Amino acid sequence: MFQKVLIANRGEIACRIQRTLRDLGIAGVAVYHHEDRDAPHVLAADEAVVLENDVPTAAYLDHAAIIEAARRTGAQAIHPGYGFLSENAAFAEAVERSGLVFIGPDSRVIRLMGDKIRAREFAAAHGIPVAPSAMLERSLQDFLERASGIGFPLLVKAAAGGGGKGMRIVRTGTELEPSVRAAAGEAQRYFADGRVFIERYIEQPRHIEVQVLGDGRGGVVHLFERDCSVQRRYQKIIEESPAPAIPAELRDAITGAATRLASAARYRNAGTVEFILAPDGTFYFLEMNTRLQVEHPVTELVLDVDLVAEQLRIAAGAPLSLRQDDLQPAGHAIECRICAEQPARNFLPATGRIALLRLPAGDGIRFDSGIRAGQTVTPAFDSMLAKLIAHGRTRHEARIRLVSALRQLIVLGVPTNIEYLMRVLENAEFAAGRVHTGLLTQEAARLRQHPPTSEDTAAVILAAALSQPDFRQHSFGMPEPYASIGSWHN
Amino acid sequence: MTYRMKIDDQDVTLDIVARRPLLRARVGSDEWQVAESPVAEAVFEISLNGRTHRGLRCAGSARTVHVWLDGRVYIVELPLPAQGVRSAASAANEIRAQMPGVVLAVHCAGGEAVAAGAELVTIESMKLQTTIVAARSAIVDQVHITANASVARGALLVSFRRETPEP
Repeated sequence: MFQKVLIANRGEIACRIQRTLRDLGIAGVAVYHHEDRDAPHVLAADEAVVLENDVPTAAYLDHAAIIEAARRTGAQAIHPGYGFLSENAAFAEAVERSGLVFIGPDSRVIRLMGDKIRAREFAAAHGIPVAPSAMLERSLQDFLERASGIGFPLLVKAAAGGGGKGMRIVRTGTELEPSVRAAAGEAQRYFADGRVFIERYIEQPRHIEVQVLGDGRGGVVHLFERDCSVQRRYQKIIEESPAPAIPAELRDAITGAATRLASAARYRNAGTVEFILAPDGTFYFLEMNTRLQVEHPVTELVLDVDLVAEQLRIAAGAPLSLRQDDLQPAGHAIECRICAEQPARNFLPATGRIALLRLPAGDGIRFDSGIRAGQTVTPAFDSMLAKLIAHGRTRHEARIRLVSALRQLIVLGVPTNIEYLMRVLENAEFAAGRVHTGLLTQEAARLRQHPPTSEDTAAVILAAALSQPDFRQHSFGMPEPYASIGSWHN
Repeated sequence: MTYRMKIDDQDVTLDIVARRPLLRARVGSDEWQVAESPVAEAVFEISLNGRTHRGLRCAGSARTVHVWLDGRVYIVELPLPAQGVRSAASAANEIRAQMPGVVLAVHCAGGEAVAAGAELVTIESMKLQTTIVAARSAIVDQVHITANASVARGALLVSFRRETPEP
């Protein structure tokens, strides 16, 4: 096993990886941009190396500086976390070339799965169902004809895409050509790759993904599925395992397909195979993420495993420590992503200084966080601050525990989606397990914040006003300091 | 005097109806009898018509206070200084700390002429930032504290010279 590992990431995931390193007695090296110098991931590490760069996110993407930091500190391996360099084949290759270990798959597999068109072809070639689709091969006219042949509605997607960028839903033939051109333009801008393809659009689909672990020699176990259907702006905000209301045969079919794909790719590392599940039970391969996922804790809680520890063991060349027959999910886990954003303003990211932070605790509660009180949330990085996860014997218990924990979690100083998440968890459709990717849009009216009662408004207004010593003085005309110390109603 | 404030972008007015024997305040169109118990740190306890509301508050950016009450966070925008709720130092020749706290910033220096409304010192107390402004134009005689210093209630912060500056 490694003695020292560099974590090429920041925020909650860097703290999460550091925790496992500590559990395994491995020294952890953090890298950071100057703006993050007091961040928890820096304070949690055994050593920390600053990455010089004018642009904060660019610092965490600097291949050469990160590899140099690993070499200088004597780290033997680099864990990329998620985002940043985690699915960057060139970086994985550079790490391998420098004689260090990249904690992830082979750069060849990253490249294969990173190209949606090639990944789809690979999946189809190995008998994994893919949605009926059309690629732009010869002329645009030919492409549009074949696309129309699939039947509307259709979804235009970018080959290099992600996060909904370059994606368009097309419901009629007349919209098709303009949508293809618009999607290609957007894909070119975001990914410098204007290739698009079209597939059948599934109405009210669910997003089901399967966690796998592969040893790189064809040995693969699956760690069951997660349902990540609850999304806003194509980004997941609530994830759970197991997926609610999935018949056993369907679960077996989906996990089996994921295992076959990972095995065929001789996949090494933790990975996730994503599927779209239609209301009629048909499912299609979507993509494979060749890294640890944000939502990995729900799998860890229902299976009592440490996925980061498994990643480290696999990267160090050990055989898989888990046998498929030993993996039996216990209970249910739900995660929600705590983001600095304003749901009432179309989830616009928010910034500010976290003046006050109260953390939740309780049975089955896990809080993976990269924030602390006093920290400033800037627009430089992703708006996700932390993840709150609850485990219970049943979905109902996990959901109730999560709501209670959200109620205990207080973040003051920067707006967050905490209350919105509570409303989603208490929404009747969500509670009944009737989830699909359009749920938040469908339920938007019911998920809106109610106006406060006049009494709550009065309490809040007075609490704010009375926090200002000057307000006391002006309103009550009393000399300082008496006006300030709370005894003004003498 | 009516204070115009905002709660989560919605306009709300606050009027003090009576100060004695008990405080009565009108928020929007409803009138409340108000009592407050001082509680440690960022916690507040305010009773309205006898019902107690306990929550948390802290200073946000600019002129905002973030308030947590019963599982919900509100952002309150306070009136601008010109509208009269900004701290004004008394007409006396010295300024003392109104609460124990930490000096966040000193905005004036000895010998400096300051106009009425000029910022003098920012103090953070119970997670709330207060900027003390000059009530009248004056010449600063001496600043008795430095940034990051802890001050006790009543500590001398700034003293003024007796003369007033040339117009």
